Amino acid sequence: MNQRIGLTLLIIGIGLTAGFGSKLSPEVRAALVDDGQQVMAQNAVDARFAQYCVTRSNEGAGDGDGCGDSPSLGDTPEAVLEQLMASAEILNIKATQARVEYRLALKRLVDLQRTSGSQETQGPLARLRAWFAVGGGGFLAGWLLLLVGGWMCRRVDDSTAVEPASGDDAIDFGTLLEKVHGSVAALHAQMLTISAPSVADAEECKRRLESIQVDALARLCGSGPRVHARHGLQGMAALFSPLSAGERKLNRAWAALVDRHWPEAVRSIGEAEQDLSETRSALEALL
Amino acid sequence: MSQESPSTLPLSGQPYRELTWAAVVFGVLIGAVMTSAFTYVALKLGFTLSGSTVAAILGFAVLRGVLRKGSIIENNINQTVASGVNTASAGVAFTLPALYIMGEDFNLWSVIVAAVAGAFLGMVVIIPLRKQMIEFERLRFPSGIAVASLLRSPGAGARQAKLLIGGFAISAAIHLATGLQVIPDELNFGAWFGLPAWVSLSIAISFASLGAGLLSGRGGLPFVFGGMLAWWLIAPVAVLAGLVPTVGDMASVKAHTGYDDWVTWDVLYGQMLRPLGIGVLIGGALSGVVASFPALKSAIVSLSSASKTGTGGSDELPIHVLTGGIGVAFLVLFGAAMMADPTLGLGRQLLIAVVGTIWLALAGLIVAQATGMTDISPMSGMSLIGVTLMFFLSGGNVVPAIILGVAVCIGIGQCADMMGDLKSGHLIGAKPKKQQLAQLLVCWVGVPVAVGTIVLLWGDGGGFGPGNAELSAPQGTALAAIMESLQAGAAPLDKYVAGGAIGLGLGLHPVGGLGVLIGLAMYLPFNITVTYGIGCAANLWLTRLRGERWIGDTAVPVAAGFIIGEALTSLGVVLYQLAFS
Repeated sequence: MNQRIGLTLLIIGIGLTAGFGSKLSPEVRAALVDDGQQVMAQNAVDARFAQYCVTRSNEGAGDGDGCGDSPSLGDTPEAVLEQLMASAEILNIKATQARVEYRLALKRLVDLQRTSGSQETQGPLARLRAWFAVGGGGFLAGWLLLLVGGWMCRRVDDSTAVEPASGDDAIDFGTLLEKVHGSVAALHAQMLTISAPSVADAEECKRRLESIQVDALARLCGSGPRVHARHGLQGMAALFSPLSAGERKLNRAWAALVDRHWPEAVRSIGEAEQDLSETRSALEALL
Repeated sequence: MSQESPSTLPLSGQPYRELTWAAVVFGVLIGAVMTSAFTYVALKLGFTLSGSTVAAILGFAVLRGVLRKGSIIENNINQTVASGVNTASAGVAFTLPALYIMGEDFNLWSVIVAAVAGAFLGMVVIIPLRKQMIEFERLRFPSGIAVASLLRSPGAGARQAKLLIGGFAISAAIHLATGLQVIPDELNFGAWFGLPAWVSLSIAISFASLGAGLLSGRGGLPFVFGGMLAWWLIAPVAVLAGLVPTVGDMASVKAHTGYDDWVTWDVLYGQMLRPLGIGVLIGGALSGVVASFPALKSAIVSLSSASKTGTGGSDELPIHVLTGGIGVAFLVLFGAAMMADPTLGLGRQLLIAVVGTIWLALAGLIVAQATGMTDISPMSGMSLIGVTLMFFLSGGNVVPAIILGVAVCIGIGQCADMMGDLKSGHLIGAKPKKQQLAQLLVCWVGVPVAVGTIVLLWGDGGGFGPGNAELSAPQGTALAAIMESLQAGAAPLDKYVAGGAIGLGLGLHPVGGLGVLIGLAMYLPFNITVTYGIGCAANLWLTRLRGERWIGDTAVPVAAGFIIGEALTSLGVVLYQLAFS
């Protein structure tokens, strides 16, 4: 129950904080309106220009006014507009209409560019203050919910983690560790007895090693969250430091077996056995 | 090793090949070629590629194939070295071009010195976190798993090899088809249903994202939740409630062609969600550091005691090497700050170096965590914050801001790359110390290569930048535009602060890295998040249906194939585009 309440509060809190947090200050919004108008006006100019060029082509007026291979009328919208106004080219009615629409779109853009820039850019601190004035209340309310929800989830998580395991988790960390350690020790002992190892021996050891890795070691290494909740972060670190080193050395032994380097495989298995033994000692110290 | 398969294996003789001259020299060669090529690619297309998979495959071909003596672990060193060298391509190509484009006068040596300092700093600040990220938190690093699958392939058995190749083939074919525009690169259901762009309902056709989700499983779900919150709640509400400029606001221009795209990308994404996401990422990482402090302390203490006693120390670089490295790299960075603008004054130069170092460490941690959890790197956002910080600390001076930004960008890249390589190394049993040593030796090599490529391409002037049809330098152009807006006084501090507070608050929740995942989702376009989410959901469904073991035996090699297939095909598509454009 508490878990659900905590999660609900957390989700609402995230929604509120993100929603109010992303709110724009009125000054930034106004600046964006200015910006947007220019973008829309530029888009309209581009569309009208494309339409004008198509009409010219369809009406057999050939290239001109920057369409097709003709030179551009200018670098700025203002220069282009000036050239268009001064143009003495006579076109048929459809092309003239398209040119007028292009010219009007250009004029709107030029007018906008003349009036823009009147708004000063809001500096970072002013922006922060202005945002807080419009969204601060909602943001703080959401943040409070987020904190309470997060804290409740943590409390529930801590209390369930120390409950006895059930189902697949029924075999606890210590039992699993003992099993892995025993299997690795047995494999190491067997490898030491082989005086003239063959490719078949390497393949057999690799198969046994893979079986240990997949069956038990993966579960052991995947039990971090439960170990963390049960023994705390420091306890987890004390256990997982040698355990992970052992896991890595078993991986090394596997690679050495694939590379047919028997001495390295035996050495790595031996070191892994020692690391697992250290893990068992660390667990005993914790218990 | 691999050259003979007699019935009896040798019991003595050559030591197991790991950190060898062949691996280092060959890695440097591949890395340098990739750095130069990928710097050019970044100037042309605006992105670079990871070199790990390419290096691993070339390593097999040369170390095992031609030299006939390479081991799996030696190839891991080769791939670590090559990708460590190549990290400079993104760091330099995303930042340095801005100085050329803005027409600034600067000392090129200060760029090189800063970049080298950044590369070393990135390495030495992230190495002590290996235990925390890989052994305690056990972050997934999907690309690291993919590279490890590739490295393990000689011994993984026929079935796993077939699955890896199958995943590779599917991903490569699809990515090739999208790259050559035979099929679209996203399924835009929103557009099909006539919905505006700000109701994001599209799926990126990316098998690498799908594979990363498949490898992440349940842990990646908060990432999807963050994306849904941003794009299915905040964005529509902001538009419908008029919190952003509306169509009505555009009435005076009598046109609103392209309004939906503009409001989606320039306003909702650029002004609201992305900066808020960056803030959440930073707050989430900070709270993560606080929450995991006991384990972090324990990891560093174990490094320290291993150095003193020598027990277990053979697997880790001694702590005094790392602390000494931080000191030296900091001094070099300070020197770069002095060279970048001698008029700044000693106090300000020192401040820039101190804040730059601290930011590099924090940003490196964030990028490494994000990459570890999702395989997605928020490097550009973290570099942007770095450049912004440097800009304000230098009193609005563009040159030292970008030069120190180069250092931060390279350092962050090194952090993520090193951690991904260490994950691959863990999975195949490499000694972390040897990987770290190899990358420390060569992490500076890519800097002169990348800077030299930029200088050569710039030529007498105008070799790249806006208006240049061949090399438009998209990232450098974007950074130049940002610097100009900073000079005009614009910086979304409100969003960074709000996001930071959200990220810090999320640190209370027991799920580790929640803030980083939600921040990353806000920082990214939603179509990538959806594809990744489908991968996570598929993992959960398949786990329930077939069990954990099946996931490890079957889904992991397929997902690794997806990631490798897309990475290599990207390279092929880029080469094709460069050859025929």
